[in-house]
Amino acid sequence: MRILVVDDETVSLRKMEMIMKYYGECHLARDGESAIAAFVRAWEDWYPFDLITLDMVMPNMNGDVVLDKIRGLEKEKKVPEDRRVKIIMVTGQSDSDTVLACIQRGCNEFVAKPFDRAIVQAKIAHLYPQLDVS
Amino acid sequence: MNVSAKKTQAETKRASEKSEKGKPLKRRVGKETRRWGAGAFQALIQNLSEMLLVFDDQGMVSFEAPSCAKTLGYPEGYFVGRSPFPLVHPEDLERVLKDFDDALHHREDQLPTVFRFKKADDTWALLEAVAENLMDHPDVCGIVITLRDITERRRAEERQQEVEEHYRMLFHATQDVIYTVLPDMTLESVSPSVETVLGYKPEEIVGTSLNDFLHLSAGSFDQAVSRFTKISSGTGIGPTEYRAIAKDGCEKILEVVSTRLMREGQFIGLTGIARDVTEKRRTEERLHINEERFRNILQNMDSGYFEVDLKGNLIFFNQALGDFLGYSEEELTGMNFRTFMDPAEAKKVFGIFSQVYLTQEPMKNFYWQFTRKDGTKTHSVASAYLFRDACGEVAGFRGTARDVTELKQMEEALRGQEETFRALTENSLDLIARFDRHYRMLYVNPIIGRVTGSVPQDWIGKSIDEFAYPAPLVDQWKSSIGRTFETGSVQRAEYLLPGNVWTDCLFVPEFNIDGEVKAVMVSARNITRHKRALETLKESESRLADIIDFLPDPTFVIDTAGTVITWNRAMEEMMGVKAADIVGKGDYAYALPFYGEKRPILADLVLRAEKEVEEKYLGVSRQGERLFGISHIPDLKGREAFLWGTAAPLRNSEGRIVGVIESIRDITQGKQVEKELHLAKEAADQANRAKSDFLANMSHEIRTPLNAIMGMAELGLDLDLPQEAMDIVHTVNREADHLLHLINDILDFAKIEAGRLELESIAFDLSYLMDNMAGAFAFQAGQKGLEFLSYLEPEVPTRLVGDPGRLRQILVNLVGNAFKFTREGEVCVTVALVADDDTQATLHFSIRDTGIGIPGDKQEKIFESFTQADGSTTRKYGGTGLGTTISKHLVELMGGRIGLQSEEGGGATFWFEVPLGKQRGQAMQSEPDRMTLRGRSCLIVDDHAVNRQILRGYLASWGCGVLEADGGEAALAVLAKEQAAGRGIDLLLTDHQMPDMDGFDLAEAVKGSDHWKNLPVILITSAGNVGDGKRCRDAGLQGYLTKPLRKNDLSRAIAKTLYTPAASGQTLVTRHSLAESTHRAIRILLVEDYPTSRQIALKHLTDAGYTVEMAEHGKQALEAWQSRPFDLILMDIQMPVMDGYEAAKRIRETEVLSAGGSPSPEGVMRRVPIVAMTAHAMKEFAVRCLEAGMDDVLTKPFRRRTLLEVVERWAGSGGGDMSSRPVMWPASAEGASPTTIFDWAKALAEFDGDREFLKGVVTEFVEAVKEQLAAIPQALASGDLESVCRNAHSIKGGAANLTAVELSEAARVLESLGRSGHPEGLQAGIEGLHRAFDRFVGEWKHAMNDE
Repeated sequence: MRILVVDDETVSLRKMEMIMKYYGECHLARDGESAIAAFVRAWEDWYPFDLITLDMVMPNMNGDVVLDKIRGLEKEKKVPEDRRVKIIMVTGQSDSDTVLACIQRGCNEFVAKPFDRAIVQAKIAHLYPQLDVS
Repeated sequence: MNVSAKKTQAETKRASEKSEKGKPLKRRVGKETRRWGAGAFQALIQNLSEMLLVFDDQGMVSFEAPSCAKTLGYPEGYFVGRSPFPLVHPEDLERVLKDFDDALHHREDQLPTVFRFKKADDTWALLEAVAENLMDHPDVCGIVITLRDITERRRAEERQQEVEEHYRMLFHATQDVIYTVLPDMTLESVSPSVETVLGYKPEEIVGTSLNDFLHLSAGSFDQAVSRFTKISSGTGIGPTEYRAIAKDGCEKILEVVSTRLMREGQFIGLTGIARDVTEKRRTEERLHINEERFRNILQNMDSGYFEVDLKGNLIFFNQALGDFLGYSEEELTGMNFRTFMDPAEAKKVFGIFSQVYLTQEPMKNFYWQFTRKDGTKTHSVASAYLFRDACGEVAGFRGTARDVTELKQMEEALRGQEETFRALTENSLDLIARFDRHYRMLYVNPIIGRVTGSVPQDWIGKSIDEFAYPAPLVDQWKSSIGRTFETGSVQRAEYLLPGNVWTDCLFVPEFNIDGEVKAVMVSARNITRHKRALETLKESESRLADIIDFLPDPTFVIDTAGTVITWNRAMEEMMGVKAADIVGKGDYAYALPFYGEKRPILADLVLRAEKEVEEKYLGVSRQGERLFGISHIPDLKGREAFLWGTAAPLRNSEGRIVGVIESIRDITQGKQVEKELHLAKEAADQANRAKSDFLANMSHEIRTPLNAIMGMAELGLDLDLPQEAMDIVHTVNREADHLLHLINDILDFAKIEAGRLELESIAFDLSYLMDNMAGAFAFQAGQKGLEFLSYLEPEVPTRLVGDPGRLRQILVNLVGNAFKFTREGEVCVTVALVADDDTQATLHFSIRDTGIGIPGDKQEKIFESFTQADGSTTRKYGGTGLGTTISKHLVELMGGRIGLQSEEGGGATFWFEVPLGKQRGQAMQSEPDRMTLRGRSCLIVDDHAVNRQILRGYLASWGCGVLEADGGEAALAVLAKEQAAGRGIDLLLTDHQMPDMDGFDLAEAVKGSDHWKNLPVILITSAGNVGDGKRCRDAGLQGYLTKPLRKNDLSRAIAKTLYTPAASGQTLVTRHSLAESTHRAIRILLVEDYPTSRQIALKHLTDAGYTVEMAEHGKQALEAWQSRPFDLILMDIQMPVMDGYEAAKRIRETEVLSAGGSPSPEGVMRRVPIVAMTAHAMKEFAVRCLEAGMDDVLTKPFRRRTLLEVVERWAGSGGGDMSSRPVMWPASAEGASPTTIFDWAKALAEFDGDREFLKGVVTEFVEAVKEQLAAIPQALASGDLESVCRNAHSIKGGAANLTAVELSEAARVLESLGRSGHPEGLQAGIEGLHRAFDRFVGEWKHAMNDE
């Protein structure tokens, strides 16, 4: 599995990296633009990401904008739905409006900050039922 | 000088003059005279410098020129008419006359004549006369003689001749070479001496070039040429040395002085003198070498060398003299000899010098004591000689001085030593004698007189054979002396001298310079007494050995070398080793029979302490010099043995240790008894532990039914029962309570006895603990009609670390006692601060009652087990009496002390003091109170001052103004006064039970007044009585609260009272109503298998308004929880199917897993609090519960109040109360307290235990936050609220992920402040964030240090 972790905040970024590296090759991006750039480059390399964790609140470009753009790019390239990258939104704001908006805009999962390994693992298990979590 | 020679010269001269000038003067004069006339002639004559005389034929002067008189000193005209011949020198007269005659008769020119003529002054003038015969001349007619005074000329000529002669002589006679050289360097002339100098004859070399014959060496020639040039050009003249090669080839050194020869301004050559200085130079060189040599010798010789002038001033000296006298060369130069002599010595030395001067004989080897610069004296041996200057005059003295100070000292020392030796020998107590090869006595010291009665003189010189001694002795001596001579080695022997004198004799050879023995020295010491003492010692030793042998204990003695000296019979028996086999043996041989190996034993420890040896014993003790040790011998003649040894040093009469004695006793039997005792004790301990375990189990077994009994009784009390039945239920309830106390006490006591009581060290809130404890007694106080007061002095810190459960237990015990023994009055608990530092506070708790008191003689016993002041009181008041004992133990375990003051009948004050830890961040303790009553005022009415004080404290903390009254009347007075002053009052807080006018009466009075009828009134009562609520409502009161009044309750009641719109204000605020409204929404899952317990808990909970579902075991609970959410699970532990631990564990696991469920607003399934209910009172169970993921533990049996408190705490009617939750147990891994600054352990768990990774992350985080904290104020300044929020948001997320709850919270506050659109609070928010961050960094560093 190829994973991109996007977060502007160090601790969350590194913690997510720590959790994610058990699942595969882990790349990091500290803002929305580089996340999109990384996504595009990976796609062009014929080696796209399988999973992106995306922080909601970031400087310059928020997570939901990044989410929009990625989904837009995929639609542009006519990527079939089942092969689109899985995106987990990570946010400290967990009010229902935010969550609902994200889901409507195409995120696959939702993790509230602060998260821990168990929560993230549970979310991934939900996304990839065939994966052996142990 | 003869005249003829002169004449010849004069002739020569004249001839030459003639040839040059033509005619002589007188002839020209004559011709001129004729031509010029007589006048002119006359004038000429007058001025003629030459003398002119005209003679007639008679030889008379007929005319004289004036110059004649002038030159010769005669008067003018003196010669006219006279003959001048008498004035001619007689020696010359004849010749003059002849010449005159010749002139008279021969008319031809005459040669001039020279003669001496007497001048008027009688001196002779040398005149030259030329005569001319003018007899035929008409005018003159006579002989004209011209005279010229040539005295001066002649003298000069003579001088010239002399000089020339001199030079000629020199030229021929000189040893120097005189030469002239032409400008082309051709030798023009050279003196004959050149032959002696260079071997050339003058004629051989004249005309040759200078370098042809001189064969100047290369350098010399160049030098000569350059010099030649210099001289010829007129620069530089002076002696120069050249090296020339003589004819025989030898090199000669020539010293040349040259000068130019000039003629009419023309350089025509050089003339010079060359002197052969070869010899001189060689001599000089030799002299120089000699001088150098002498100088070297002088400077390098050890002796000082000096030259002094006749006045004694040093004019020359060598280095050695300076060294020797301690002066530097500069200092010494010119110094007078007196300077380094004392006057007496100077006198002596000058005497010697005078002698040398007079006799002109040198003085050798006389002693001379110098005084050095540092004042010390030297001894030296000196010699002095006269010395003369170049003229041979005596110029002073010279000589040498040699330092013999050391020599002198050695001499003296030697002399002193000799004296010493002599004195020693003469006064020696030993006999000292000297013998020669023939056994003749050469010397003997006076001690011989003591031995024999005769003086040494009687012996010296005699042969040993002549001594009147028994033959054997003489032979012995002779043989010893003889052997010494033969072998040259020292001999020693003991001889018995006559008179029974034992001597120890030493024969010492004395060698001569060739190494031959020339004499033998004998030194004989009297050892008679020593001999005798030795014999006595031997006797006593053998006696001692007999005694030791006789001793019943095995005993042996070793000497300091470790050799066995004595080994007694008992030793032989015990060890099976015979004395004969071991005595005399060393090298730890005595250890063999004990240990089978040679090693140091106890006896050796006496001589030297060796730790290793000591450790082999079961214990070594000391008592003065004696050592005691117990040794285990696994195999002593086939059996295991324990030996008890005692060892002590043996000393001789001088106190020196000469050996060790050790005595052994077999203590095997005693040891066995001891061993059995030990086993017995272990068995007893075991039994005791078993008892404790039994008690613990028993308590559990008893607790479960007791819980049912108590619960049922409590439920029964709520029923509407007939009085008789109610009494029964009351009794059951009370006795069950009593029984529970008993069981708890017994269990505690058992634990204390078994040493298994351990204290917790956890964070707790003292004020909560006190409130809680007071709450527990409120009912009892009400029932008995007692005042119960509980007061924490304001400076007492409340965020403490310790064992709150045990602290509470102590308080409950002591307060319980106080209630028990107090029938009327009050019980008051106060807490005061005794000592306080950064980490610890010592608190003084006092429990004062107004009960029966304790008589003085019983006070001491009150803390002992099973004791009450009087056996009868046990029956009267109940209780085991264990409470105080347990309290004492607990206080002491906490490191505190406990005591009491009492008088019989005058109440008692129990007190205890315990040190408690302080929580870090104590400053945070005063949690921000959200409620503010600033600007409001409240009237407190209570007859009890302490109560008023407490209330005032609470209200003041909210900023509320406070008025006080100690009763209803006073309160009404205050109200009237305020009304008159036009001031308002917002609230009336009144106690219920007051004398004269109680709370109700007051409330009714207030409500009845026009002015104050809308004043909110809250009634505080000690005991809730049935019907109180209704009465309150009827009286129009707003609140009704029971004592003890908790701050939280009061705050909420006031808030509700003051801020609830009047329209809905028909409800009465009570503690119950405060809670009930929220309870209904709270869903509780009650898991309990024991039906009665379930039933009771259900009733209690539903009565309190909670919504309760039930499960009978863990599995059911799990299923229920999975199907629907609960706010709290109350979980029994011991249940069938699935116990509480398992169920809790499963729930926690599922929570984690199900967190992946569908996105919920919270993102995570809410973590449900689980509270264990267990009849196990042991701490281990509580820990297990928490480990299983439960949050709190409720110990059965519990009272309704306890149950509801726990439920309230965890199901929390209001989230705002979270912070007041006490942390009763170590924070579980799951739940972090909201004030957690940073939990390293938890963060580490979050990061999978990867320390380094986490460290890196935190470091990165800290750096990032620092930047963000710097960026935030800037963003704020530029009005960029969005940036402030984003940074705060980022910190919030990071901190939350690091379990830094406080920091995260501070960031959250800032973020929401930013988003709220109310930037007024932002500054405070930023400051809060800074503070939180500082604390986080501090905690982080702290954690790193702990790592």
